[in-house]
Amino acid sequence: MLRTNSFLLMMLILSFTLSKLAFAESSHIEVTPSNCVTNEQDCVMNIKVDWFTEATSTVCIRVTDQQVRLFCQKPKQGHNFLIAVRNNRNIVLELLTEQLIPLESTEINVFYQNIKKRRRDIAWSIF
Amino acid sequence: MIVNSGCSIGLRIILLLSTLYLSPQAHSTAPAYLADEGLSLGISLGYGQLDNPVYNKGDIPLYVLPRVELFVGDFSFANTQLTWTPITRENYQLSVFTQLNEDGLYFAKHSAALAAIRTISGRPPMGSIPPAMGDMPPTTQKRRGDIGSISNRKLSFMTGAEALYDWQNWRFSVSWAMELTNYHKGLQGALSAQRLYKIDQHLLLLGIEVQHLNRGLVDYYYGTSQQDVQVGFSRFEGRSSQKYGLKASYQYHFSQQWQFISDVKYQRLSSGIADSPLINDSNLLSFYAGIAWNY
Repeated sequence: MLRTNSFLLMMLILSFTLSKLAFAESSHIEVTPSNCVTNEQDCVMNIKVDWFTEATSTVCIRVTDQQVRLFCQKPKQGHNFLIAVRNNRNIVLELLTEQLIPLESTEINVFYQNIKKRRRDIAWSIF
Repeated sequence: MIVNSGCSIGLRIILLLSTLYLSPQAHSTAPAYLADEGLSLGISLGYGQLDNPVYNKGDIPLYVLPRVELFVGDFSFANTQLTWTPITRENYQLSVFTQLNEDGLYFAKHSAALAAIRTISGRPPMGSIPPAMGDMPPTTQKRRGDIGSISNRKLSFMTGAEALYDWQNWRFSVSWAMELTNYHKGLQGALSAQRLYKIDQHLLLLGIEVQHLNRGLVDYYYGTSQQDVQVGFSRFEGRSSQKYGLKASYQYHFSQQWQFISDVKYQRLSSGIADSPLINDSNLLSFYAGIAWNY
């Protein structure tokens, strides 16, 4: 009985792993631009999303920026899907099945640029 | 270990000096003239003094120097100096500024605190003279009395324009300012040139400056009024004058937060100021050295 259970558990883990691998191999999501350089508090921009999967006929796209947004009922392949994003940290985009099983993900890196100002004299110039 | 350290320091000094003299344009100095936008705070502990040229007024000690700088858009505030820089190009910039007049510091009641705040604003204050001693021979034709009873000279603010031009590691400046507070209707102009050397964590600045003060400004602070004459000072009317300055700054950056800072400035006053009975000497030396912490 114990041996049977162990076997079933192993098969379950194996099938789950293989299915994930299969999804991963045939799925793709890409964001343009992939970096955001800002000198404001938040990175605010419009992004274009391209995706493709062979895993399922319709997919969802989950965007995690200041909030979590889900765009579902999307075809298995898409181009130039426009999304407005805003965040002060990296922004994550995930390609999911309709059952919200992750297929692929990508990240927009947010960089902060220090604005440099010209000064009349060097810092700590005393006299 | 000590010997090695000594050699290392000696070698570094030789390298530093040779780099200064043999390849003066090897390093860019631009970052030294840049500041991050936003608020920047700092404090320095050390020792120095701003010599007070006024007769029987003590030197102004400098032990603690605060640094409060704010850069927002085209505006900046550095201790007591407010600047608007509407024109900034690669090699030059034009600013409008308002700052505390340095001559008023020597007559102020809280001159030490004011000087500490004023000095870090980055504009050259007038240097100063050792205080008069009782046994010091008076300068010819100068008659002196009770400095505590002279008429009140108020602190004033100056506002004006300044053009800066950067060429390689040189910075040239020309400025003109008029009094804002309407006590003396003074005018002041300045020409300066300074050269920056930055090697690794070392920063050295050498500068030369000529300031011109108009008659109104000089007479308000260094001329003598009827009250001054009554308390013992000889009559003196201020004339338009110059201050000639040589300056050197050396800084060593241990890290972004900690640094060693030092400044020394020699200044010579022209006779329009130096002949005043309120003034002791025409050769002035100010200095400061300390550790600075930046937040």
